[in-house]
Amino acid sequence: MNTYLRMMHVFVACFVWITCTESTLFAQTLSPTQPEDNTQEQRFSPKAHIGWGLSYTLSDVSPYPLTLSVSTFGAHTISPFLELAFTVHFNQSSASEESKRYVPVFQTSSATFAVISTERIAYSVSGDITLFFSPFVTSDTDWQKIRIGIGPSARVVGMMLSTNNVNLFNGERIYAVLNTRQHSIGAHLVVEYLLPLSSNVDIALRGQAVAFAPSLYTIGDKTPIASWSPYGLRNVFNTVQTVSLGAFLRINF
Amino acid sequence: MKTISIQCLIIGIVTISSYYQVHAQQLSVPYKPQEGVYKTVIHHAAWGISLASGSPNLGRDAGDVMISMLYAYRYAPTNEVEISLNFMPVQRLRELDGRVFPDSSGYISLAWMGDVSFMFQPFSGIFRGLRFGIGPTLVMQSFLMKNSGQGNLSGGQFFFVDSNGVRSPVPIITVPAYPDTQRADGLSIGANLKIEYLIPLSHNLELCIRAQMQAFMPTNLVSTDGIGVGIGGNVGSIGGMLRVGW
Repeated sequence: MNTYLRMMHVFVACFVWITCTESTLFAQTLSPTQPEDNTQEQRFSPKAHIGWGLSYTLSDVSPYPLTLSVSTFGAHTISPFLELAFTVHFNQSSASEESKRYVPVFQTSSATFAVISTERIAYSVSGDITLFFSPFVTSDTDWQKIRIGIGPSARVVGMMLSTNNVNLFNGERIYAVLNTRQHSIGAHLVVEYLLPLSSNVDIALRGQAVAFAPSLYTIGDKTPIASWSPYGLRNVFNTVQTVSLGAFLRINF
Repeated sequence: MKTISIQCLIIGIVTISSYYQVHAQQLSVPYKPQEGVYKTVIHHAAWGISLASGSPNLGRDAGDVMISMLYAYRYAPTNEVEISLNFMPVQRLRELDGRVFPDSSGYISLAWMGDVSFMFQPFSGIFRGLRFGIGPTLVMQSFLMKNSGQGNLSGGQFFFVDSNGVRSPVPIITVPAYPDTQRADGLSIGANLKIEYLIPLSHNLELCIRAQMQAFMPTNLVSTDGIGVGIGGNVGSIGGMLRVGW
């Protein structure tokens, strides 16, 4: 519950900040001292945007190696400074790993096991609603191409993990198969840089981090996804579940 | 129950399509005035969901959700070429009262199907919205399944390797139940066949009711891991898409 409260506080703070800054910037554009900028007006004439993208993703669903996420979005311009976008991301990973250089070890109440090999398959489908804010849109420099977005996220994750384990005390081999589907909500932060290609096509370079609260509804194994991640990344994935860097083709019309 | 669900879905799609067709006719935005629109709108993007069944879900049960997106380019008044991507994640958990049976924890099967389709619009009049498509398909499938049976492990020496790479022999004392896990990754080529009906909603928005089928061969364009056989098969689906034109 504390996680949800923290998310709500962050949302409220960001909303207040965006609203205040938006009002200030809008007032600046209306100011008589501000020179008229017809090109800027024309630049923001497109109201609807759609696009597709590919991102390198590091997440608790696919901790190793980096995987590709496929994304698609639709967006609507609210004002020169604000845009509302809805994005869906698809990610999957499938891997068979032999423990050669690094052997994970896990303990139960009565024994210690070494994981010899794992077979993992996982997918995630997540949706974001993002409020994009262009804080430097009045600037004449390249900074005006930077946008920041925040908003709520939701995802469904399915994972099946088969591990081949050895009891380090008596050599007993134990196989374990974990199968789970978990549904979570969370929040995300996006930083985007727009590279215009033509009057109605842009490339958006996008970095994104998403934090999800513990699963709201789980089918199958109840263990959190992050706890199946490699040891070195578990603490990271307990806080931020997905980090991605990618490029989007953006069509304006 | 699942048969009833499919029937409800089909009835719902037919009802919605009938409503919008009548609505479009009432608004006098049917086919004739749109001749100009079809000439000027040459780019399309669409997103949709379908009820799909086939190899990814082993042809079992009523079907699973397939998510689709596409881009289409109109190169002639009645012809389009489209690139579409369909994602069909399937997960089965044998569950009862919130607990998964330990001996049959199901499977996950993930299929990505990339289609290039040439769409033809052969009719005019009331059937103007009816279109057919055909083209090649590239399918990427990943699969992990745990069977419920037990097997035997052959003997052999296993080693524990520590972080320094030092190997220590591990004595084998007991061999517990073998879960018989099967895993496969494969990339196959095939073909797609599409039949769809376009229902105009506005000058650049359409509802597309689409039935499609992808059939693919066990070609294994890349290495197949696990069970070591190619994954061929087919997927059939019916669903709706929202099409935006510009």
